[in-house]
Amino acid sequence: MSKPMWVVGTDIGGTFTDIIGVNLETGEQRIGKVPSTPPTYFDGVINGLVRAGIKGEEVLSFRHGATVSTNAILERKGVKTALITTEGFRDVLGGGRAERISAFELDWDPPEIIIPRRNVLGIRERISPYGEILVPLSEKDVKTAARKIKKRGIESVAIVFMDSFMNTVHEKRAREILHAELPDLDITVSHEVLPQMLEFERTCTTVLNAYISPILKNYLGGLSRRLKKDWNYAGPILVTTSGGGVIGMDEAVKFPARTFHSSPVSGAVGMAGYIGGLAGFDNVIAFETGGTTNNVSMIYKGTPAITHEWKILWNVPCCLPSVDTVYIGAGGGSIGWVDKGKILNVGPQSMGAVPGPACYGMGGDQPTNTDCQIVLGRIDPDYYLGGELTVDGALSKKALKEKIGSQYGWDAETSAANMYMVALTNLMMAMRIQTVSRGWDPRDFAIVPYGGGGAMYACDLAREIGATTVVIPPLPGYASAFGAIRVDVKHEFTQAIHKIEAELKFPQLNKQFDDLVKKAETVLKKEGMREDQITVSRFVDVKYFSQSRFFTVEVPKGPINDLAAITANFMTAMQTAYGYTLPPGYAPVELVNLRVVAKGEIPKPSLPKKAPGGTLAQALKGRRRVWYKDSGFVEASIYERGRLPVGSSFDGPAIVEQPDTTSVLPPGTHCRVDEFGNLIIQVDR
Amino acid sequence: MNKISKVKKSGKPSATSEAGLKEKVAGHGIGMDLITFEVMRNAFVAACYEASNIIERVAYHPVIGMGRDRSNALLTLDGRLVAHGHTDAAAHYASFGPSVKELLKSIPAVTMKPGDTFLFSDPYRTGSHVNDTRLIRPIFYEGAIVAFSCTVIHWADMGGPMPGTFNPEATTCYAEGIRIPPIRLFKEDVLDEELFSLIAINIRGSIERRADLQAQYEAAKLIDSRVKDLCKRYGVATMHQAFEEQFNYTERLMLAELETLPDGTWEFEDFGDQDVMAEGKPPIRVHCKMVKKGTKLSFDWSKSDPQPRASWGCSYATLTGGNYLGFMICFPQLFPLNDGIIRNLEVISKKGTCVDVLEPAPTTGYCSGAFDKVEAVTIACLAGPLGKVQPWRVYPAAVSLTNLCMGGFNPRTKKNFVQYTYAVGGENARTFKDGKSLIFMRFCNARTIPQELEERWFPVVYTAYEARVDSCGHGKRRGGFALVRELEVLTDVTMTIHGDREKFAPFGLSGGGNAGGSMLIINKGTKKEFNAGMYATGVELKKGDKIYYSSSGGGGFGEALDREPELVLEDVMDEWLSIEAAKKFYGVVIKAIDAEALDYKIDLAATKKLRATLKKKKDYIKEGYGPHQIHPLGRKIKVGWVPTEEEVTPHITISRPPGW
Repeated sequence: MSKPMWVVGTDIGGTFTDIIGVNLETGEQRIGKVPSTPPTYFDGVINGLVRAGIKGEEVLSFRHGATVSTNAILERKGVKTALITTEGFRDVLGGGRAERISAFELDWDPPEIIIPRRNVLGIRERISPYGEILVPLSEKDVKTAARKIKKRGIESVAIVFMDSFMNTVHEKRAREILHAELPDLDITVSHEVLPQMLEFERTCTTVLNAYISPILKNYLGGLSRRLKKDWNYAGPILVTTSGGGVIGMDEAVKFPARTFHSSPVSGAVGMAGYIGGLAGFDNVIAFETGGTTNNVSMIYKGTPAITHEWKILWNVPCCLPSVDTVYIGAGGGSIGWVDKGKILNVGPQSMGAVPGPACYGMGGDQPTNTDCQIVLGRIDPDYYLGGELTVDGALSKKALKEKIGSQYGWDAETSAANMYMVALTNLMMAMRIQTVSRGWDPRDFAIVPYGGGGAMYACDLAREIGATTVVIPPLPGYASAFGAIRVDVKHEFTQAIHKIEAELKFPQLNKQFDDLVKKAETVLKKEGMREDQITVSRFVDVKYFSQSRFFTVEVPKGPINDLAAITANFMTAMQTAYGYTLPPGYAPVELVNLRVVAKGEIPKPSLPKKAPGGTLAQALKGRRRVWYKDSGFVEASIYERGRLPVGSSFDGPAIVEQPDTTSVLPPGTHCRVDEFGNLIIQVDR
Repeated sequence: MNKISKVKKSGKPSATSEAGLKEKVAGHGIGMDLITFEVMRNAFVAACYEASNIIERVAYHPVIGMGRDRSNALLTLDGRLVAHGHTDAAAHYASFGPSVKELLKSIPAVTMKPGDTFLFSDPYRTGSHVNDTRLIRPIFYEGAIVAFSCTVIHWADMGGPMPGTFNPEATTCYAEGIRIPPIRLFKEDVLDEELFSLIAINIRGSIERRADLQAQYEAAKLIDSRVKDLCKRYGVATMHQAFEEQFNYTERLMLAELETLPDGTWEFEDFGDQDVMAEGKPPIRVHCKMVKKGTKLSFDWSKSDPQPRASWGCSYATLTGGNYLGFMICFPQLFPLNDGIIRNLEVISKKGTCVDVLEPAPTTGYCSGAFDKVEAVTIACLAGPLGKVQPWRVYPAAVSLTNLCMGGFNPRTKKNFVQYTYAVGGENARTFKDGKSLIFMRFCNARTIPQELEERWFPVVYTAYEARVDSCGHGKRRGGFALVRELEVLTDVTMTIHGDREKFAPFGLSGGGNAGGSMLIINKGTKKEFNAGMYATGVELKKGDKIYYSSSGGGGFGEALDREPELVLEDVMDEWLSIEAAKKFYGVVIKAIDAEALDYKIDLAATKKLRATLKKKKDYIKEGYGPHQIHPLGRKIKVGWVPTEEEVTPHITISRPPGW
């Protein structure tokens, strides 16, 4: 048996399960796309692995997307969960932050709360904001709660006490008692999931974790057994995270809340960031278009923009580190419609996969973005998903003309053109929010589209926001699976401290940092990382006292003896983001949380080099009329992606077709095919 | 119009262009390219939203950074409102226009230079109260003013005798805080430190206010730069045209909505608890007569009570604000509020009444007082016509604001502090569904301030953040529940509460009950217990004292006796509702067999009997304005039919920024 040299990534989508494997030694790449198999998704994974022709015993590292946990939340299919909290604070979870989604609208209701009020159990106890015990834990109350939990058939419990991140003793003791009473119960404690201030955000994150933990445990348990039995693989299973990394299966089962957002993130970090880098850009706008949403994430100076305020749904925050992604409710299936003031809108309503766009002929009579693209000549109805699905362009025309054209006296083409412009405007706004409002200049970014539809908008978007370059990866449809095999093992540990300058004791601060570093190294070593593969960075969240938001700034190596460097970094961050800092002496600086980010790096597979050969003429499939924003309908060259020779270049107007996506190159663009088969498109000529 | 396509930036084509998109089709009624209009319309709101975000990040006081008591607006040259942000405080909206118009009266536009930015806070001219300071910036492009931005922040203190400036017992504005006439605080983008020092010396926490001012200034600059971008790309003329087209578009939408409503005259009234500074502390009446004829809609408030002595009333600008807010709540699809709506609503009042007070009447309590009643009464008047055609837009009254202010010395920072906070509460019932609990007052799309955050900023520790049992307005569809916040002060403080809705609770409609009222009790459940009420001014609390304060719930809709017993049981199981209240208000008899196992039973026979008895007893719930009574006018408001949730869903309007 040869040395295991394959790294394998998988991503489970609503329709398809993607497998991609790369041999680290030979650079060979194999792929498999098979139908997903809910609810036992791992059947699909095994099918895909077999289709790709990779053998388990030859695999070094197996990486898995965590769509299962995301879906379980969205579909409310977690386990029956209770929340144990400080008496008097039972409505912290249900009350949330008391926001409405939209000004003025009273008929809207937030998503249903994961734990109904009846299963939120108050316990007498209270830790002060400074960590002293104000009210001792009532063990009797915990035992009463245990009885209720048992009688009510509850499978998982979240324990969240007020200010527990300043003193963990009550949460630990409550867990002990519960565990003694109910040994089979799954228990999540807030100080392990998110030891940070803000009770609602901490409670919600901990509850999500408790709600999903048994589900992911079952799934990954089942998967690892199947991989062993049917695929002969007993190595480590690494699960992708929302923060743009992977973690070991044990950690994932304990902290599923770290994985909820992993699929688009893997694509953004592992694929889009990488591809952008190959083209010489370390600032990248990663742009995914799926069936119902667009996701926009940012890579800045080679590092993904991270948020700690990510929301899985309205009022359902999951505050573990997550790559900051803006979702727009508009994808291929989103509908175009005219409102009462005669304004054209696109989305957020979507036709989904069934009945789907009008062109599917499955009963959908509403014009969708996909119909628009067909009528504008960008998608060839005879080559939809590489010809696997038969679609009818006449139905697209009919829907556009009837639902939009009739309102304005437009023909189907004009309706489609206007609908496209509205969709483009929405996307542009999201990209602006992600760049300009951070103080970043969009002109410094390359756009890397992925997912099925991104490459149809990317060039126009680049022009709209002032970016100069679009890079389209060889297999945009496999971005998340490929991304999974390029991201590092990554953990983040935090410790809340909440100290203003005058209250700081440096020896204590250094010890707290050392403890976090040790904790991180222990976990990484447990996951098989060697000392020389581990890098640790230290950060601290800083703000002016009583300012509401903090900045996360890097802490220089070595012991901390004063705040000079930290304060300087804070001022720089503040200056960059807001363009100002307070005059000196106005307010004390406060250290909020200590953070340690630890990475374990193993060799990353590269994109395989594309075999040279062939000519551009051989790749040319023909010419057809295609609509472009700035020219209207013109004759465009149609190329087949797979046959485009390395090193060739051509100008727009052009369309590049491949089974998993269509790339649209407007007039005035210039495209070059690099050695990996990436399309590097200059839009600013 | 054609100018647009000529404007090019670094050689790139502009968004609207050439072939395929040139159609200016008669049908859509927009006198300019549809897509340019769409881009601009979104850009106006987006600029305000971005500015609000900046404030949220930069500002200091948690009520702004965490609570979002701030707003941003873009206005025309002559002070007409173009757009505001998605998450702003509606209480500020109507005052944008008057603020800019009044500024222009005092300071001629010709004297303004690029970078000049004006601070202005005078309730009689700008509306609301002194704490809501406005920073107004003329936006210059190529040497001329092309628009104005107006940024409002609630400054946590504006001086005066009480920490936080709220003063229920004030009888003139001079006993509240300092007013600020329009002043050029930034001269060509340089802060006039001398001028600011005049304000700083008169207010508490002036260092923090300096940071809040900075946030406000950054927001103003942001809107400025966004507008300049639009001018550069599309041309000033096009932007100005888009302003007008936006008004016309909103107006068309609005008039189309009004056309579908029946004509008629409707009246409603509501009351403030008391004029605490007048003899006998009489209640204060807010009355409106609404006339709807064709597409004309007018609101006449002139029969409202004379202005009270105490701080409760509001100025005319605020009256229009409450009136517009009530209107927008009934027509959320018209978002954002702009001049297209404003110019079509007639708001009539009489000087010297509680909704149109004269200088120097106090105004700090405007929001929990007059403004809140104006909003609720507007909605109740609109329930008349809407109830017949769009019954889902019929809403009882909801939780009102309870301003809690505390001031003292913070041993942690060794500085004086001012804490300003509030309790969210119950939203009104809908005709088709129960009301939401523990949600923000309707005037604001803001947020709660987390306990753990306040505990670190201020010397307090919280002991409760929980719903108050039985505090909803009962009904076939019940209102939301009120919130209880309980906290202990860790140092001596001076406390003021400025609220309302203690005696005159948020009303129900169509036989639905009024909600539970608001309350504030010091040291509840101890020998030192003291019911301070909603108008307690300057109470000296000692270290270790506890404040129990609770907001009001939301009014109910329809008869409680018609509520499905299973829904009553659900509320009992969730411990929203006590078994006693289930029996008393709903006539539903519930037995707890094993509460730990959630094993409850409805005694169907006993329920049937009890309900029959209660139904015969005409007044099993008393008619009146108090908590859990039935509002005499509200009872008479009926809807044509009760819609189902499925029927309502397509009408729900979500206006929010991308990715929110």
